[in-house]
Amino acid sequence: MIFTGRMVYLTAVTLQDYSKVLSRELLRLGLMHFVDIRTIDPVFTDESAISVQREEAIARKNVLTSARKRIETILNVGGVPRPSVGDDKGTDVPTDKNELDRMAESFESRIDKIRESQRNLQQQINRLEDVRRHMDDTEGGRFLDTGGISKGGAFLHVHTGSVPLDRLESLEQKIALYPAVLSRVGESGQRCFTVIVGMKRNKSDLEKLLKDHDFSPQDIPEASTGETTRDLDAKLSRMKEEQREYAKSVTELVGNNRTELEHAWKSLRIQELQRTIESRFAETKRAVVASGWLPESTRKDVQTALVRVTEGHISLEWHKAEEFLNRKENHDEAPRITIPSRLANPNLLNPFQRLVTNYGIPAYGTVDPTILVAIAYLAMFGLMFGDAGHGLVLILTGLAGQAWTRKRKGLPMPSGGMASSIPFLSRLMLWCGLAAVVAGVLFGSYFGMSLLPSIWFNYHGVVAGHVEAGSVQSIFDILRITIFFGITVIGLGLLINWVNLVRQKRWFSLFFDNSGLLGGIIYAAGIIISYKFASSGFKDLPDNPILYWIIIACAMILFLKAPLKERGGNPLWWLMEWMISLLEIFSGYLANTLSFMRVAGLGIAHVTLMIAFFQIAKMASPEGFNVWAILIMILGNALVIALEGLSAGIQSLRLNYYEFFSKYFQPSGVEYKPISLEEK
Amino acid sequence: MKSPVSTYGFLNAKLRGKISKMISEETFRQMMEAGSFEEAVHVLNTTAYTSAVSTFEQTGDLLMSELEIERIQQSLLQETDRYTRQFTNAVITAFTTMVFLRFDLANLKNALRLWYERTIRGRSIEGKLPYLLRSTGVSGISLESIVNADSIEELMALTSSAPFASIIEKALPLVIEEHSIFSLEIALDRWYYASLKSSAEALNTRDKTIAERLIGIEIDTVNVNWIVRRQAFYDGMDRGAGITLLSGGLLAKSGVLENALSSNHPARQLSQLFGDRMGIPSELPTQNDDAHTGSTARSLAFLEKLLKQQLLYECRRVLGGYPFTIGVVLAYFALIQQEARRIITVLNGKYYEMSPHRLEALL
Repeated sequence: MIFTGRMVYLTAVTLQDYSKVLSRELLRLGLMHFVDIRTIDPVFTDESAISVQREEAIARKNVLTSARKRIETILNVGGVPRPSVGDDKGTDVPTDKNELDRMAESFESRIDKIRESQRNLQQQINRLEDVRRHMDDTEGGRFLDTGGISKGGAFLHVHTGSVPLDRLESLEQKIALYPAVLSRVGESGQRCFTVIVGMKRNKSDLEKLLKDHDFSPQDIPEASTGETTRDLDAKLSRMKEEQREYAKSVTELVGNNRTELEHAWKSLRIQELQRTIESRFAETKRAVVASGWLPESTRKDVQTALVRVTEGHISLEWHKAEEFLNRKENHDEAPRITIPSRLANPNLLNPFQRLVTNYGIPAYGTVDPTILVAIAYLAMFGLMFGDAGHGLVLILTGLAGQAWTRKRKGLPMPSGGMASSIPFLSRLMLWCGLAAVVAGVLFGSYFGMSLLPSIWFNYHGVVAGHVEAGSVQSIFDILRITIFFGITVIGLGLLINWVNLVRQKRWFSLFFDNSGLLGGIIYAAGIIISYKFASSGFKDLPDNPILYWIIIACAMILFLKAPLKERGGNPLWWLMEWMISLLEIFSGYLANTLSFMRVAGLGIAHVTLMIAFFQIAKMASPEGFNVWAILIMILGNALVIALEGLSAGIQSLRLNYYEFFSKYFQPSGVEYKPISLEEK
Repeated sequence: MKSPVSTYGFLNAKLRGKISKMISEETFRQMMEAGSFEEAVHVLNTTAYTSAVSTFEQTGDLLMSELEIERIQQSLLQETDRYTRQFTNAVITAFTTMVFLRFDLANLKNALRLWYERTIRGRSIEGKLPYLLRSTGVSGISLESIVNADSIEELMALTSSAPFASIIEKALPLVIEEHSIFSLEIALDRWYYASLKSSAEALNTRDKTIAERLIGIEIDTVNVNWIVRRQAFYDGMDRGAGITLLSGGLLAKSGVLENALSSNHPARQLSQLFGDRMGIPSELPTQNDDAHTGSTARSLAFLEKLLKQQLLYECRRVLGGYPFTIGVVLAYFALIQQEARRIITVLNGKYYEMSPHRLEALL
């Protein structure tokens, strides 16, 4: 957890006959970060000795990927979340791809049939809706006369009359092909009285149709537009309900066969992953070679497992990571090798690990800053957003986000960047909320009110100028706290940098880098001088000359950096580099330290905003809290939570990335990505 | 007078944010390589076109999904129009209103085509009418009324309040005479681009330069489009009256285009003209390309595609330059149209089981 996980390199050679069992076992283990063997060992760059038959294996894999996506689409259509294979550990499942293809085709065909029915129904709905739309039109003429039918309208044409009963059904079927509606009013003898409303543009066609069906126009006083409209609405409602049933039938089709489909998906996914592994193998005529990085702690288990599945017909060659780290000095022609960095942090720290990897992947063997980032980030956030009530709101919001994420597990994320970030942001919010609650309790702040006494100091009281006792009495005290906090963070960054450089045996950088020992000593001396100067009320510098001599000595030694590094060159350049280096050290460290004052600034702003809202609420209710005052306080709290929460989160991130990471972080690493059944 | 930063600051931030969320090439690739039409549709679930997926799931109708895509496009443009009115000045708003009018004008042309099909050619439009986007209409003209107009006189009466009423009045008799609505569409395009260029005149120098470049490329595209369509219409027949192309093209003066057209090898001349200007080696047939053969039509269609690419290139160039100009609005408009067009093309391609390779050639 403190450093990136220790890795070991494995080259496994076995016979072609064991290729499949090897890939299956490697998948089950899910530990190997595959690398192209040619980048590790120059022996294998000779193409005649070994071939890396990727194209064929990749092509096979792609076929499986397409098949898997087909099943996934069917699951999506049915609203079924994407399953995961994590539990299946590569156990044997029916793997006949042709059978799975046939199954997918069968489902697709059934869904297509339903879609066809939906399409036909939709076209009928479209036609009727065209008529319905104009029944509400008032332009050009009235249609909805009460108690009668108007024979006009901007777009519609109305026919009233009677049709022989035996011709009625045929007429209804033919009218359905037009944007028109036939409403039965009543019967008399062998004839049915009807109202037919159609579009004016189809008037001639409809009239011909009516004539062909022995339609006899006549006025029907008892007919009403209201009834026709109701008939049409009822018909549309039935059709839309039928449309919903169709849509539901697709979901049901998938739901009823969910197990079969999930099984198929898992089978394809496992095969796909296996082919992916096989595409990373190198091959000779009779042997396959698997090469990659594994966590050192798993060496014994992996060895046992691979020997077992290949019945001993395997050769395993292990190499420690250290053999490769300094290869440049051992083997001039060896290519530069990047060892994958494994960040082995508990699941709880995932949000902070993501903040780290967002910046970059730490180089192998260096400090994994995740836990330090967690502490620093939360401390900064707490100092800027110290209110227990506001923290509680963040916790509740985070929990809601987590619930939403769980509900949508396996389903495609909605569009937009924010939606896909909700799982991560909600977890981060939980932590930030906790930090805010702790800080709020320390500062005695609960939704901007001092409901309970503070444990450390009363932040509100200090900002408002009410505190006269204790170690923190003024805003300047708060600023001092944050400066000391900043010095601690920067100092920690320098320490981490030295540890990294020692582990990497980069002695030159350890001494001469801006964040090296010399730079650190200058910073430390500078801090002491500044502290004493500030303590004297910004009047006197410290008397002891040793501090100044230390700074001057370190500065002079730094001059040697350029000549030692370049071993020749222009002295003017050395001078220039030296001056720039000194400028960067002095101004850089000063700026970085003062940058932490923003933590105080934001914390003060948080308090000040709450004070302001309280004042406004008081102005709205001079004689005690009324509805307006409560509303103002609720809105005020909401605004502060949103604005200050966002600011505090962003500023904490900025301080970590710029002031902390810039001291030690080497983002030259490659993330450890084993091919595994565990889906991320 | 407001500075460019205060004029365009909000719009620039807003539109760039929207542009960054547009569908990526990777997503288009996923759609093209999808194993089935249903799979291609569901790729849109992770984009801003989710409602088009829901529409398809509810109706099973691709055309309804296309209509939904157009509605989304319309709402995005209306939103941008609102921001422009709120944050910029009257001159800029007048120009952008003209820019966005293109969308409504396209709908109007669709409505006119349907009217023509029904009234003049006597064909049924019931299968196409439900898929007409009922936009707010140009100058408040009801598209419904246009489609349902029974005569030319009624159509003229409906469009009498529009600024292009006289254009329609003059062009409609030609429609009857030529048995084609092409001349009406050309007349409307001509009016539109003249109005657009006129409204661009009032912009400040920097905005005007950018606007003229982008409008110029569009004019080139429109000119080539007219030539392509006219070529297809008159293919194998004596050519009718020539068309006067739009002036103001960026890459080719209209006179040059007309000369190329009247030559024996129009495709070759045009490909050389545009190829030289755009630095693209000509891939068009150079042997005896008879003006009446299908290869000429294909060549001209290829040119049209090249010009569309040029427009996109110009948009990216504008977006990479000084941010506080009218360019961001114009680029957004062009990109959003292109995105919608591509989605519809890909979905139709998947629906008709086109191979990814062929689909890519269409895009």
